[in-house]
Amino acid sequence: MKRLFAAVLAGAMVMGMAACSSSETGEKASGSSGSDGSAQTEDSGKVVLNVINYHVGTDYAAEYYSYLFEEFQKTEEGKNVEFNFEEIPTTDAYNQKIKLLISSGDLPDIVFNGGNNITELAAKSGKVADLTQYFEEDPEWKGLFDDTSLEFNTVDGKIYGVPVSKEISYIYYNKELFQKAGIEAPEVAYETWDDFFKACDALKKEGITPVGMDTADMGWLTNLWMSALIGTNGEAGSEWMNTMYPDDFNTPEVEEAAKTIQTMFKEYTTDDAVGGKYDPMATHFFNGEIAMIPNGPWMIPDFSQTEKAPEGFYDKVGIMLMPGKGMEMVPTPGDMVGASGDEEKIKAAVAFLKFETSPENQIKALEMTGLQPVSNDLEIPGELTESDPLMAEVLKIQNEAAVTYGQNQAYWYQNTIDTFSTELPELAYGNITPEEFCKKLTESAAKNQE
Amino acid sequence: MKIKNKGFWIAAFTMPCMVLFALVYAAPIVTVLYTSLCDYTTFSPPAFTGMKNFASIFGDQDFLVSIKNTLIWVLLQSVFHVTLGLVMALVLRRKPKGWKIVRTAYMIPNIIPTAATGVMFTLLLNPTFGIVKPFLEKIGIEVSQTPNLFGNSKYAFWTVTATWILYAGFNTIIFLAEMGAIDKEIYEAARVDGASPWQLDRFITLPLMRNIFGTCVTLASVAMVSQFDIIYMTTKGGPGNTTLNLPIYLYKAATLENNYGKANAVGTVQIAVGLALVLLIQRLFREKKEDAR
Repeated sequence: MKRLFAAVLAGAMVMGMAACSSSETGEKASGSSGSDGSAQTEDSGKVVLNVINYHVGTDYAAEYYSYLFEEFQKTEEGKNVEFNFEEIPTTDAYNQKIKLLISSGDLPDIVFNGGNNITELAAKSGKVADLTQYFEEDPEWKGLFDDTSLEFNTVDGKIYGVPVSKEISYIYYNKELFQKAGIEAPEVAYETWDDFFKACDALKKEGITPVGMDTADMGWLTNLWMSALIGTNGEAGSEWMNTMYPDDFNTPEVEEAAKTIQTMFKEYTTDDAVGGKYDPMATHFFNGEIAMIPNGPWMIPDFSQTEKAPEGFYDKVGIMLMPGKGMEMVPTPGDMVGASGDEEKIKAAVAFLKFETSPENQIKALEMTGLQPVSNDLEIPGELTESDPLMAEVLKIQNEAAVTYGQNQAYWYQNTIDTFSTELPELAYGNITPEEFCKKLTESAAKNQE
Repeated sequence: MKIKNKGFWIAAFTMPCMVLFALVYAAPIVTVLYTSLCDYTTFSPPAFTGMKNFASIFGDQDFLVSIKNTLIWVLLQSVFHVTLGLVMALVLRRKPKGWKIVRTAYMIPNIIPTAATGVMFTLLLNPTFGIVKPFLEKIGIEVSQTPNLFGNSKYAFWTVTATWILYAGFNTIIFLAEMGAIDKEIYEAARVDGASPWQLDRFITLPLMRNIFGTCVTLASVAMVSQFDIIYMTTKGGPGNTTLNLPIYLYKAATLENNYGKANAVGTVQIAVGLALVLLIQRLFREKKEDAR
């Protein structure tokens, strides 16, 4: 009896502690919603929309979204709408929360897309509303989006997401460091990758680290280099890099890109790139410790923030496309509407998304956050050239792109992005070959078919 | 004092804990066990598939590495970490000069959140601006490239281990409390018989620490089976699978592959490993206790 009792107690203890980590899964299976899915039309006749907002605190778009919510309530469609906010700082925490709610809970009425491509996940769960009819009923609104952007947000022929911006990225370079190395940056882009690496050698010769790279937190910068190397490698590379959920990474273009990435880690970047995150690499760029960094327009406001970059840094920065006039350009996964079953709430949420994507607010977003307008033919205000010449240059240079391609965080399976991040150090230190690296990515993608 | 119906009273006093355990943990554990046998993803509700998830994980090299790493860490924690706590307690019990400061300082790592410890170590050991480069220069070692302790798989496992293995303050406190409970008359009698301080520790203190040593080993082992946060903060199981353990593997299966059935199969293995360890340790120390009689 005594022995049995001791064994039960011991079991209780280990299960208690082991379940600390296993509860991650349990929670996913049984977690409750943070928002109330029931109809919430108040006595006053106001429609209450539940919103989980991650654009808060120091988020780059916090001010813009605060403006949006406030201004929407001043419009005819928004005057009877009230927002019930749940604030979650950081996109990571937000994405986890939304995935949890998709799995077991009710989604908020407005479902912001936190960067991860969760459109398909949400659509298949049946917890977001089919917005096709709203697009069909308002051709003017639908006309703001090109086919690619809408297709990107379509699952089984139905539109679930409203794309609010386009994501592009290219290279920022430090004009002063280029000058120091005696090289002139091209007006648009280096013709070839060979020309690009010749410039890297020239920089290195002067003791300047040519490029910023990273591996941690999904290896954002390295992902941009790798995507560019694949996407600009002929038609096959471009096609591969524009493929959603690729499952074969052992193609000549990807293996070749992995080989070049290995060389870049060994020859052209900082010691802390392996294992490093984006933020310290950005700081290296701001401090003039690296000459080039790939990124999107959302980085531009940082150049003139003195708590991030030295005074006058903005004027030292130039922009060029990737070699071969390549540019990463992906439609963003759009914002969605929770399928609450309450028509009033769905209509109000759609009205907000229409307001968010109005031409005026797309321009406002560009000015306040650097987010690129999703619509192609918007009139860009002339004063932008004066107030933000770099942003004006971005708008100009993107028309010069000869090749556009996607990037892994938008197109790859999530676990494959993680494998990319954890295997990069092994590739960088030569512990695995580029072919083995690609094989691991292929194996990781295959896990999604199990 | 002889207590009547001892078994009844033990059951009565432990019942609230057992009921609480049943309510808070039993249901999730049953769910974990059942869904580990199901095809269960974000897209699909649980559908019974038998041992498919177990076949999948045991066929995955990463999972086998995660078990190996977990067991190595359990061993290191049970042997080295707990022994270090005991040695510190033996030293501090003699109350050498400054012992109170040392005791307090040694506890500090235990009160810092592990997430903060992880961030602190990643910054400290950063190859560009961390302490490694100046340290190597100071001791006259010239290297062409500063070792990247978290980033390079040659060092990552031991670097992650170093973020917790030396900080045995919790065990030290437990041992000190147990040592304080030893009857002083035993020591006095031994001193009268001419025992040296070393002999007092060797023949009195250490034998009387066996039970609490077993408890510390159990706690340390179980903690290692569910170790997650500091690995997640520093390496996320990488580079490659160098620092992958069961909880990180489980987390990735659940959140990145959205495969809850597979994740729960890992959870089941984790619970089984933890239970096996507890029973093994219990048996090991019970035998020793019987030997001592």
